[in-house]
Amino acid sequence: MEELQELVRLVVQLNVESKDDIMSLWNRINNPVEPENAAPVEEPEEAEKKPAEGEENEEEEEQEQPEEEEDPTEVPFDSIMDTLGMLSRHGVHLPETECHRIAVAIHKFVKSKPCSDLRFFGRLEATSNKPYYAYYVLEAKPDDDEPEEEAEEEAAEEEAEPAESESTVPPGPPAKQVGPRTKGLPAADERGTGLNEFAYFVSIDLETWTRLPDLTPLMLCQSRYMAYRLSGDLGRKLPINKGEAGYMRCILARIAFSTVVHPKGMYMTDPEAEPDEPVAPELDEEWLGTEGIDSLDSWVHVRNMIYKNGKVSSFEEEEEEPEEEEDDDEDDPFAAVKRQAAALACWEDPLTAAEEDVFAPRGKRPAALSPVTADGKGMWQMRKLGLVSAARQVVMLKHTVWPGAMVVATNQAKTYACVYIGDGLKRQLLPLPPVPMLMTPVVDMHEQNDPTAEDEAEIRRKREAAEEQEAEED
Amino acid sequence: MNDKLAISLAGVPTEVNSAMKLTLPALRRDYKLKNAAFWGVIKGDLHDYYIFRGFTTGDIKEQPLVFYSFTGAEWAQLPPLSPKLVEAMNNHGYHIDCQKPFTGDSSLLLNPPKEEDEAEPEPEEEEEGEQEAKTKPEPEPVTTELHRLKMMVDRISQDTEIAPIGLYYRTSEGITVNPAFSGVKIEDVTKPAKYALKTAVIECLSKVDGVNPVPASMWVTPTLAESTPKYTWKIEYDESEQLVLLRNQFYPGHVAYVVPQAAVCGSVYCGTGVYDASLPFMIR
Repeated sequence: MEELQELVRLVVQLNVESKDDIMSLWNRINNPVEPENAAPVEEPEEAEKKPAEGEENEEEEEQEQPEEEEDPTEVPFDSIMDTLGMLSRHGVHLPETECHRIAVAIHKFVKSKPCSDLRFFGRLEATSNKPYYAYYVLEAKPDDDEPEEEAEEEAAEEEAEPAESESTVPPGPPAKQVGPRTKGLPAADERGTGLNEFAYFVSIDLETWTRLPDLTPLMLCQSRYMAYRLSGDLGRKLPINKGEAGYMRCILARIAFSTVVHPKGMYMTDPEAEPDEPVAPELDEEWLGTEGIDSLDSWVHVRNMIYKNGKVSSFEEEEEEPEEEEDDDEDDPFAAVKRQAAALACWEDPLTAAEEDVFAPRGKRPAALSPVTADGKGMWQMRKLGLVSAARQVVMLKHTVWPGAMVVATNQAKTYACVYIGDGLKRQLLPLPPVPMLMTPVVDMHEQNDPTAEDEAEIRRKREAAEEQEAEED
Repeated sequence: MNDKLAISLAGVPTEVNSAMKLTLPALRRDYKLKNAAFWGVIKGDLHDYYIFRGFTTGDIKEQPLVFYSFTGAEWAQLPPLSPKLVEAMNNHGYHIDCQKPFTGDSSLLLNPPKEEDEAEPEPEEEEEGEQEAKTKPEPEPVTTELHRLKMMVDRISQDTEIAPIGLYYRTSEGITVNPAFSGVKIEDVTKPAKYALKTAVIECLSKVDGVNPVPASMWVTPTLAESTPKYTWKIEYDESEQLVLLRNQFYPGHVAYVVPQAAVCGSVYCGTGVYDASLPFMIR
């Protein structure tokens, strides 16, 4: 199996690089260390001497080679295959052929669009109204983002556009609770911050990638009251801005902020900061692995949390918001709403998000780098796979509320991956909408004939006679 | 062939797969199973249930034996169900449409027995003159998650197992596979009218007496084309694998496969074992 994987990797690398002198490249790949084959490294110069396509192409090759070597955003093909293969071997339904296609697609994507923090987010199944599709999702921070003006224009258009008239009443709380209260929501985050810190690219055929639109707090709050199966058509109309694309973007954000975790010790806070000072965690370059990854306490949240009002918590603003409670602006009709929204401190708790009020304050906010056990009892399940040897033991964390969200790790978490493979639906203990009460049949009901005109006249005559008698008695 | 295909579609871990390759043949021999196949996986919070089903006779109407395992190495038979057990589960909310997930704990009691109070008044014995013979109500049978598992396996099999039209026919020995069936044509593989639920096929053929094979005029069983709602079944033809895949939307994770131009079909389930009652409200 390892030999087969190695062969596949070599063939793909040949295919991707598509050098003219394949044999020299083959030798270079197979024996990169031996001094006898050090000469093939110089073979590109020999290739230049050949009557090739032209000098321009040779110059392009020379320019491309240093760029490829120095490109820091290039995702190693081997690591992707290793990660996906690990998932496939341990029950996550990703056949090896599909893993390979995903790895090749990611490799090509990175070549075409430079970005950092690229991660294979997972696969969302789209099964409604069409044949079976699956969205493949990538999460990244693009280096060349679109200008912010377009994002502001989109946000302005979103505020101007009313809710779609064709929308049905979403499940959960009645619509009247969602409408007025959403006016007190905060402004949309800029690209690269808050909800829009990461960009998400989706594809069905692993060839063309589409970037999903940016999020607004309004969209996020609306998505909490919706549960739709994805159809595979990004332009499908839904009672949310941007249709299925916007809805999927909301789902991805909620899943990412709730289920993406990292091994303990990989990130650290500034050691010079005060204990009570909130500081965003940073990557620890001296991290060499985490022992005891089979314990839930060894996995921590690093990403910020989403408030009930759709805003992402900011470590810098954590202490400032509670102070605003003292300022009462009587002129502002939404002062109370804004105060409540600012005082929110809660996890993205999907179990009760649809049941509770949007702005209901919930408990205290856990500190940065808090373990996943702080999410609540039963939110995460730990499984140990591959019990042949301790060194090869694989640990899988599964999120119970977002079925399909999982973390697979091995080798002291030096190799780990957070992946979501599901349909984008939260686990619900009650069907939508609530089952109506059964109407029990009335057993003692006796049927009667409808009164005719003659019956009505007789009844009227009797009533008038009774009234005359009462008047005479009086 | 069916097991290999089913396991590959379900996504079984390599360790479990290798264990099953050793244990399933032994299971077939020990219980003398016929038409036995890997049924699928029901995912629980703590552990996953790997299900294997087989028949002791060749009669397709027979109730199959259902086995479960956590690792693929050791198998145990699921307990049979009775109406009282089903009623006991329904009384405690574990009916067919229950949305509660499986825990993976086979010893979980769905209706734990109530503790009897120490001070129980006994007015019936003190009052004299009453000669009414009052019988104590029968205690409710104790149900475990295995009973619910059996119930859902039967339910999912009933609602999702399909067969191409013409695959089964009735003989003097009962309902068996038609050896003359040449399979679904390539141009008809995506037509839902070419498939029907296995239970409907059995019911239809059971009504027919002395007719072999069943003519189309007597085929009154509704095919998948007549299923309600219409979005229940999704049919997809994978040309690379030469396989027709049918998915029941009400059971996410289910997939039935049919090999075109061959008398090969089957199904596998890899999901949570919960009926998706919210589907009509999620499709727009």
